[in-house]
Amino acid sequence: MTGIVAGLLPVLLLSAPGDAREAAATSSHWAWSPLGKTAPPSSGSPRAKTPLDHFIFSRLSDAGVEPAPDAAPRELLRRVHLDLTGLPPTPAEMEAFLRNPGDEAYARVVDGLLSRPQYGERWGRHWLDVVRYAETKGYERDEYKKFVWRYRDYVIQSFNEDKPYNQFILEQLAGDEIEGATSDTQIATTFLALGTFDTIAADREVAVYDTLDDIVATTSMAFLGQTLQCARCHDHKFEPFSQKDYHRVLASFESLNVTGREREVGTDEDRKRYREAEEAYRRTTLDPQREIEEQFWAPILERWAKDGLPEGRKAKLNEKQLALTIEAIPLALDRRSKEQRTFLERERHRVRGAVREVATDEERKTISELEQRLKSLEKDKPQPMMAWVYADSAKPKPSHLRIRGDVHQRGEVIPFGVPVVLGSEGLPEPRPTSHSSGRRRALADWITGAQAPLAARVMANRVWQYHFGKGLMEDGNNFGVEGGEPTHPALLEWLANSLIEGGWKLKPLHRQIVLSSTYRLSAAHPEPGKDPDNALYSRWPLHRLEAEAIRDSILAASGKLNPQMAGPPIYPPFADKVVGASSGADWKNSTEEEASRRSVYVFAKRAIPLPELAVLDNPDSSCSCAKRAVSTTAVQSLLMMNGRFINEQTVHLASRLRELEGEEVQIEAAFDLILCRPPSTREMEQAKEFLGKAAREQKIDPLASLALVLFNTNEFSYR
Amino acid sequence: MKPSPLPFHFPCGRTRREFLWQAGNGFFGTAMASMLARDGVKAGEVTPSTHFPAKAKNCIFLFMVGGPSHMDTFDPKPVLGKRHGEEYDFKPAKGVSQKGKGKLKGSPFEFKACGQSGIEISELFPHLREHADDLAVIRSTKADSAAHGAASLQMNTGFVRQGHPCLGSWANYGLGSPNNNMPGFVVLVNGAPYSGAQNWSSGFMPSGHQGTVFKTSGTPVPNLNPAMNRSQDTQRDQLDLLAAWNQEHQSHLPVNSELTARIEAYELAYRMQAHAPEAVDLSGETEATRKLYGIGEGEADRFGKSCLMARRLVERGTRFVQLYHSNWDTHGDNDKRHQKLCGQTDKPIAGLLADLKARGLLDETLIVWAGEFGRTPVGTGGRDHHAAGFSTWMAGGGVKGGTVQGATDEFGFRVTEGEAHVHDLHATILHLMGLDHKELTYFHSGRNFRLTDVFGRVLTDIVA
Repeated sequence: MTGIVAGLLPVLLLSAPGDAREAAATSSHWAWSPLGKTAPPSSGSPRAKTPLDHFIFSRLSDAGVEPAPDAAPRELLRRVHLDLTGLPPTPAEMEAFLRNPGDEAYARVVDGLLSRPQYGERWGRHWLDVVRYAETKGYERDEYKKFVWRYRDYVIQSFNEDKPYNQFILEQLAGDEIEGATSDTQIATTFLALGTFDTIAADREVAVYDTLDDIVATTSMAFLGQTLQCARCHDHKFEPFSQKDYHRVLASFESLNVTGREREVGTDEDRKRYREAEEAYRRTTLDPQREIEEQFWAPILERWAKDGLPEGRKAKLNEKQLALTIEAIPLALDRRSKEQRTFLERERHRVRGAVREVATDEERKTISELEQRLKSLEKDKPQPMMAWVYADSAKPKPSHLRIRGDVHQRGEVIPFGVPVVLGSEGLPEPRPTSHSSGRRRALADWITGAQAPLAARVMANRVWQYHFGKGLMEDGNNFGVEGGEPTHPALLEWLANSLIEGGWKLKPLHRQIVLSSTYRLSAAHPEPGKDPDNALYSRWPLHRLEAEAIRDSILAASGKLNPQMAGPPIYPPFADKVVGASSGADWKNSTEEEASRRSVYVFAKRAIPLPELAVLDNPDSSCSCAKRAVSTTAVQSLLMMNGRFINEQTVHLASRLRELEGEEVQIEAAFDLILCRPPSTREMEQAKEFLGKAAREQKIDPLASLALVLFNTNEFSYR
Repeated sequence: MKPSPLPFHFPCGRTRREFLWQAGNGFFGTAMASMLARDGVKAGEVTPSTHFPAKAKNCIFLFMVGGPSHMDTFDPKPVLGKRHGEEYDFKPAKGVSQKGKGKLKGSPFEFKACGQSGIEISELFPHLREHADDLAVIRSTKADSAAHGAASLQMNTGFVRQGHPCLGSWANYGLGSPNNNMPGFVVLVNGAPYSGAQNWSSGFMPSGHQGTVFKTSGTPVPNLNPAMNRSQDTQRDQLDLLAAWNQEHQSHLPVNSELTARIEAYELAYRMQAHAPEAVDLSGETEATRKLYGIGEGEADRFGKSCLMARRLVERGTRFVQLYHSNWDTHGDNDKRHQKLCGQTDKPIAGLLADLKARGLLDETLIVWAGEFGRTPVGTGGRDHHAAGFSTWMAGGGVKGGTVQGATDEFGFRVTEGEAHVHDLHATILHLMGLDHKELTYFHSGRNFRLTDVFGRVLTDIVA
């Protein structure tokens, strides 16, 4: 279908009501059609290294445009490091590559980067944009959602182990409904629970329905690249989706308890293991506890009973309680009366306080040591595996159409299904599980089965977009009629096919792309005017690094980056915090070491995002973000010049440079660490001159002032 | 609930305005136009602009956080007073009122017809009463939620759900900023609103359109001063070196508007360091002006300073200034609290109107006064949240002064005539600023979004 017809289609269809108009459009739209087998054209270019180059180079050759020269090895290594791991190469890695920058060595570098855990932290973060990741509920209260971070770790882990993308989809939609569900696959369903929720909404039913709407929207955009949510209140204005279609899909999710909270996950086996571990832990701590009671508490309390309190001490137990406790200590646990148990269990701290009052200094010291030992055992206390996942129901109530999207106006019952225009072939009959209707599983099977071409096209485009900074489709969340056509349709088909043929694994796709000549072109071009907007990829499309990559690269250069992965979020210090009337209570300040971990671990609080990230367009997490905005504001410049974080890092970097001897060596190292290249002769002169002037500052190392300039260059923030 | 006509001239694409913003989007508005002008595109063709001549160039939005009581301020209800203490059940629709049943509570405050127009205003606003003929009081305002968080979002973004751009973002997206040295959308916070920074968020628009929070004391903008007390000389040297290196970097690359914009942003930031403190520095104001705003007069002092800052900001070309004052959530002692809150704001707001007028700025500056909702006519000591009918007002740029829009029933519970939904307020505000709310769209997530969703109509009765 040509672009013109595709553009007119929605207008023509608008006149037809409801489901009727869908028939007209069935499978005529390119993105909904089966994947075509596209062989790379022969570009005849000697510079083509991988099949995808032929797609790009033949278009260039048709347009009479030469591809740019290859990027210099330095530029290429920095590009691929930042791309695959979100961190710059170290000077040592750069040096090693420059000694041997050949194709084979480059391929080894790529394999190495893809196997680093930092790959998952980088590419997992891309996915978190798509799924509107945040750890609070938003709105007025913005409450913390416990253990949502386990989903973030699940995503990072999935990317690192190169989990097949179809499996990844299945787990996120229905990880609790699949055979062999584990705690990990259950945690994957936190995907459904990432949205906002207004806990004190005036109309709770509306709030619940809005949250369900958000699940439909995210599912539809993330996996299918369709904007089904526009059909909530009325038939879609631009796409052949009816309001019924929307409700068919909504029926998969309507039985979820979106008002729930954190729950224990895991297999029955896991739970049994936890109960056993907990019992074992109780037993191991019980013995030392009894030892303290019998060997120390009992004699001390008996002394009190016999001799009375030492002078100046306060009695923390009355006589009756004292007698009760002395009586209870030697008894076996199950022989103690309820009253006796109370004092040695719930009111234990009171007895402990009483003992400390009466004890001699020496006794107190010994008891403290024993208690310390007991406390160290606490670190190993088994914890149940908790996650923020919604419970489902095995017997969902019938789903009603909501007239004009109004939750209170119920229309006809709409059975579970999928949008008519996409075709329900391949949609299995839902198989109920003990706790759910099986509809989400059926939906996921349909997305990864019958709709595999769409799912693959959408994901292949995302991968391309994150590598090049722009997609083959402009809006990665809209592959509908109105989304238009890809700039390179055959290439997108080929990439989608490759994804499926490679067992839905992403790493082979990354290799296809980053090993290509297209990826390795210089950002400079002798004749840029022939492809002014670089629509044909005649040169590397220079683009700004994401907020996280900028912050992480600063930490890498300063030497302070803490590589610790996983776990609860971190809370870098906040300067000038503006909070909502009742939000913000739960921002804890991390230690500097903790705060220096990668940005993907920063607490994602909806009401107060960290300025270092938000000001640089880290997305608003209210809904799925296919592509980040790149805004340029003076507020950014102020943050990057005057902000506390960046200035602290320049001080760390300066002391790192001070370990080197000689001004020129220090300047060179600063350039190497920040820009991954040595300074030119002229830059060296300019830097020296600047250091001389910056020496006027009594309290600031001139090297810190220089580092600040380097961190602010366009070169640092762009790749 | 009739959907408005679709913008068929751009059936499924973006408007030119949108394209320009997204193409590289300027900082605070003007950078893009100047850059394109340099690239050989005529600036007049591309500068974000009005749909029709604007009546107001700027807007100062006075946001009363928590929801002021309309029955005690701008909407007199003698019948409510007479039947004070009587049990009553309004049977409200779900979600629009926190309390529809209980003892009627009359206002203890006296109302008086003021000015030529005779608009009745309560004794709680003695100074504002003198400006009755400048005000268009909207006694029939309606919102969709009686919960703070959602209602605040709606008053600012049109939607009760979060994630949408706010009014200030739309205005700057539509109009750009006339000043190179200052942000086009500034927020002054005297007590933070519910839903926090979402209230001045640019939502799905680029972050350049979000509000910049100016603190009302000390340094106005975060990171405005060089860190570690670095001297201005060193910072100038740094920026010169930065510019030199950025130029060098760019000289090897094809023209890239983003890189150029980023170079300019540093110079703007540098200028802001000089201009922003000046904009909020009140020391140059005369004693008479300060007095006019109630500065130095006990409880009016704080908000007075913010109002004066707002005037200084619009004088310097800030397009949209939003002031937050809290907290009007008077569940407890409604009457005493209102005395206090009105005392804190009456003189500052009256002073702002008088000062703008004296300087010839009121004609081009739209003033909006609103909370996220009003309060219930039932209650014992306090009043609860009420969105089914409440009062707001506008004054200045293009507003027909001395008018009353709509009415509520004899108790102040329901709108009985001239309904003015929040969407209508938004449509009117944009209209006064020269923008058609149906034409001002932003393409996101599969469709064109508007500030007014598929609703909104201009309240023509209050437009001069």
